[in-house]
Amino acid sequence: MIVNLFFCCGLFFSIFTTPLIANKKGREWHSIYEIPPLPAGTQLADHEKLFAYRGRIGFFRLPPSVMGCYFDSEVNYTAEEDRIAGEAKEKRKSAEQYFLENGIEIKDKEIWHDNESIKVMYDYKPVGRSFCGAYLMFFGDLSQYGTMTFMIKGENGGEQFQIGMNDAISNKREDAVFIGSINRFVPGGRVTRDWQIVRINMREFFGPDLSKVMSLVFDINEESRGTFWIDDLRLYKDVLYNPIEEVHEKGYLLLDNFDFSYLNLLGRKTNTYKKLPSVCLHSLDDKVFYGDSGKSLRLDFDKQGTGWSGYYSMLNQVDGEWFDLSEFDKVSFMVKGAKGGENFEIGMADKNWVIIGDSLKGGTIGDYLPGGVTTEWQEVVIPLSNFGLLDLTEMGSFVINFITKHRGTIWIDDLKFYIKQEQEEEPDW
Amino acid sequence: MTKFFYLCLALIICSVSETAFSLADNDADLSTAINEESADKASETSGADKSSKDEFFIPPIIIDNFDVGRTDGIFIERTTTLGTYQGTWAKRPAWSIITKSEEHRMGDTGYGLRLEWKNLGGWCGWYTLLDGLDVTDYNALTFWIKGEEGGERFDIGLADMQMQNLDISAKYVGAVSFFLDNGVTKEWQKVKIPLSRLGADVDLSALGSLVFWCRYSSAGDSSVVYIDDLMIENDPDVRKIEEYNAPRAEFDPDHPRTMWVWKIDPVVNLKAREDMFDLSLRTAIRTCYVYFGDFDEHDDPNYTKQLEEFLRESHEKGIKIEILTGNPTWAMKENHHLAYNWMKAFLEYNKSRPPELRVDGCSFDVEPYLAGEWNTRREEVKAEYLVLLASIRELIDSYPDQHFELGGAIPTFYKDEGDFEEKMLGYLDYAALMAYHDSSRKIIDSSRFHIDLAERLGKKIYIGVETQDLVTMNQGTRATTFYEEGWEDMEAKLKEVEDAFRGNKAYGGLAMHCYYSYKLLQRGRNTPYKLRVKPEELNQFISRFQQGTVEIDGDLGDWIKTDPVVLNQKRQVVFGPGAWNGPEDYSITAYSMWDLYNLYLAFVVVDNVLVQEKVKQEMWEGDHIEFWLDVDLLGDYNEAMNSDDDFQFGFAPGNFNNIEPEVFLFIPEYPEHFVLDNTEIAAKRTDDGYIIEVRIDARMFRDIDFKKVRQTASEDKQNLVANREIYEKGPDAVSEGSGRFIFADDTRLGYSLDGSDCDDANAPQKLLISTSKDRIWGDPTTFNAIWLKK
Repeated sequence: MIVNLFFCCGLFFSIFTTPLIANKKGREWHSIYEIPPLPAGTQLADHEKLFAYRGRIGFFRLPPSVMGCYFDSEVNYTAEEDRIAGEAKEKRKSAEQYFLENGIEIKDKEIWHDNESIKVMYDYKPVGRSFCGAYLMFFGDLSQYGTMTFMIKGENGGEQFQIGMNDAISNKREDAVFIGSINRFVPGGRVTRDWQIVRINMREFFGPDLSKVMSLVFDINEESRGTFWIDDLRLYKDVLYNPIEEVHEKGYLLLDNFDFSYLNLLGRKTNTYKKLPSVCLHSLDDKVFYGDSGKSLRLDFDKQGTGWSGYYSMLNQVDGEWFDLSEFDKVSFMVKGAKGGENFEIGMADKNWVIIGDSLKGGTIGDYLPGGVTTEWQEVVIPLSNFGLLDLTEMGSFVINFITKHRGTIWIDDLKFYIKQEQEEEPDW
Repeated sequence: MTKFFYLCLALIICSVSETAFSLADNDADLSTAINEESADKASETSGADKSSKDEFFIPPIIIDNFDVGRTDGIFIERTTTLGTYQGTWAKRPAWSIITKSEEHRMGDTGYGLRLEWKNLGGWCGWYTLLDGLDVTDYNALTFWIKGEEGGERFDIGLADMQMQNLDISAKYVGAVSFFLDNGVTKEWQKVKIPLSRLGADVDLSALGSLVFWCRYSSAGDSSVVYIDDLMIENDPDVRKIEEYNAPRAEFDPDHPRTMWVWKIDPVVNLKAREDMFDLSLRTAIRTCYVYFGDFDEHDDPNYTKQLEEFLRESHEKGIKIEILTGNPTWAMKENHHLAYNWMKAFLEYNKSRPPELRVDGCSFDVEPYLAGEWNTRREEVKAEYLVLLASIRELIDSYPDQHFELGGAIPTFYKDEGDFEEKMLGYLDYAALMAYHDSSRKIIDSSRFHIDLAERLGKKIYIGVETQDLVTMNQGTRATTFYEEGWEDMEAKLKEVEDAFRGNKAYGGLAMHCYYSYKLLQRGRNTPYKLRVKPEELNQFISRFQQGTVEIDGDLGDWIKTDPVVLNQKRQVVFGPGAWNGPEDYSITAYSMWDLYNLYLAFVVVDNVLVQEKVKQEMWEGDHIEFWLDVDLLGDYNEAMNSDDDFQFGFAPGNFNNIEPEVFLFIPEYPEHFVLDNTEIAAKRTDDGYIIEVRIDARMFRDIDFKKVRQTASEDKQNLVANREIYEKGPDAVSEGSGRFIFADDTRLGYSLDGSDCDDANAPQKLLISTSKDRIWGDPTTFNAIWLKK
């Protein structure tokens, strides 16, 4: 009997494991005006009591970046059929009904009507501490929902921003909880000039109190100028998006293509580590990339005789569940150096090694590139078994660790983990 | 709504260990057990000493009096008095929020900063940017603080501009409680943080940021503190405070101590070097195991020259330097070359240099049991590691012109690994035993085997003790480090260890782990605080005065049974509630009585299945009662960690066959005969269970040093008679010299009654039913009170 190990292994991690509802009919969804209110007793700051209400849009910016957003009746997403359920589009509660039912004065409020989209225009100039972005206020309880969807289109295509969420706590602070680039959540991995559906598993929002959601944040995080429209925002109780299907289809998990933000494509943290006098800096380089477009990870390092320096990309959420890599057997990435000959180790850390504060090394780059790093892109493929005894069911991070005293620059692109392909005969016994 | 993201990157994670510092409140005699000469010498060379009187006339720098700037705007709106910015950061679900308070401020005008947080995972905190502030002419960072409830705690860190620009985490200075006699209270107090604590790690000529890491949550929904008048000052008290709190130890020339030194580079960083020498000389350390990465003397001539200077200076001060590194995977044969080459580089360096410029040896910190292979192919890993040691021994021996010590770190459990340790010692000159406990008895007991083995082999053992905050690091328990005890208590315990082994040829000395935590180890106790209701508001287990004689026979005919405590509700089952099948399954009715010299306890236990096949410390695997007694309840009322006045008794009924009823004292550690001499127990079978009757003699508590335990709550707030007063003013006015603790009327003792039910010898502790609904093992703040009443 032949057994495909593929189906025997454990599942990936929590977002991937939430069961999908197979039945396409009868999915319950709510518009922004139908979601439950904030729980009684939610603490609001004075300015929130004055200015916060459902459906409000706004922006934030620090010059010289420029930002604008408004409700646009000229551009509106319309569909003959319900885009998910294949049913006729339902009549939903209007903004007016919502405000009326809740005894909220509409006067002086800009509200989002059914025949309008949200138009966001931006010109982000990362000068000094400049920033810009926009937000849409929910002012409600999203804890019962499994998926958020909305439609998006760009003026030129390729518009880029990162998605964040503010709950009643973070709204009083400076930063939302970000979950990565919009490109993570559109089917083609890129905003286009046509309407596309954005699907976000609500569990991606790790951290915010989903029962007290203040707003959805669109943060412009790379130097660019553009316009995009948002429309038809829905909240489904079901989980409609299962990334594992895509991973199985492709045969690999793309942890990062370094095209979008400092969160990897799982929405996890990435960063450098350094102990002086050794240092390492990272950036996303749009001048150097593998393939036809995009960016790569640029690591500028100076490894001294003492101290340490390197880069890590996390597979787990900080203080969240560990990542199950047991279905995978290889890690691969592209690498090139500024001069060639740059030297580093590749490490992986499971829960045990994360606690120890180190990683198990799968060897140096020379073990996988006989000629070492050169100024041309080369693919590095490392069997996970080379990292020694890791608990692949509880993985923490991927590591680039610079060794031997030298300084230089390398670029990394397309960091992937490959699903096991081999089949195995089941022993007779 | 605004955003602020990138600035936080440098601030969000602190990888440094947490250590302690405190303005201890007791007046210990500094002249004893101190290497005064070394201490003075070290302080003379300290560049951070700003105690000259003239310097104190420098006006302070006000970083923020919180009278300007907002807290809810974008960062340019959150300006400080200094003209920089302040704000918060968080990785959810943790959160922190700042606002300004007109009601809570220092002085008559302006505002104070209100910082509120809750940390349930992730991280959060507050920062203020310092934008290159030069504080080299000052000696202290100061601010005023008060808490909404008292007992709030956060950690403080500083970063310089280079660290800020490179996104390097701020350096840990200490918890706020280290700098306050009784921690944060509901009254305003001034925090004075000596800048010299960071002189080696942070460029004081260009500070980048100040951070408060809000790592600890108080009881309740959130923690709130008020901060005001954040300043850089020259404070004459600071020098004295530092000197008073700096760790010290008595020097024993026959058994000089050693120390692991990680995370600093004393070769390049001269201030770090100076601080390392200072600590070593103060604390009787004469060998430092200093971390070195890859090394080649020809790689960087300048570094090699600095290494020579470092070694020369070390040797001039009488301090040996051994190289330190290690990776668990080096034990595996495929990585042997890494270890071999690393070692060889230093032997080659030594070869062409005179002894004063040489490295003295190597402390090999390879712990193969940390690699996963230890669990899957242990014997192979052990064999491969021995091959590595053999090759390194051979390598060292191939340099006969230099004396090069080879040592290795070993855990205590190697005694259970057959002849592995013996074979290891065959290649080593010494082993540094990681006997990481915070009690002298455990250190001694766990070291004995290894000392005896080393003696037989003619080798040395250095007994290692831990000072890191292992709990926060998720790498151990409170019982495995002296972090909570502080160095004064640690020294008392280490003296017992030294006394136990001083006469043994194999005993080399003590090994301190490790520099960065030991350096900041506070003098007094450093325990977590928890807020509690007042003692009279705790659930009271009334203990009645017994004038007559009580016979401990399991018969309660001579008992006053008016105020029982009953455990028969599911909500009282704190472990395994799903396994509890009602009062007939397991329930307890308890009584207490007292006289001047005894505390009596009786437990009427309903238990449908009696299982007890174990004795002594293993009694927990069968039916038994765990009984905690906090004898000096008020002495450490808010300390959420057991201390020497907290007794954990085990009362087992036996099995009414071949196992007798038994008292066992789990903690603190007393000799077995002492416990047996001062306790009495009997058990009697009943139709539906059994009765346990216990007497605890007051002599059990005679060694408690009540005065040593810090009073954490003022008497007007905790308006009850402290036990120490009873000790001093008891009805019989027993003098301290009598050595006889007595019980007295109206005394409250902390207690927790935890009944442990077992129905299957192969499945210990089916459930635990407790008088402490929020029971946490070893946390006396979860206890209730026994009230002694006449």
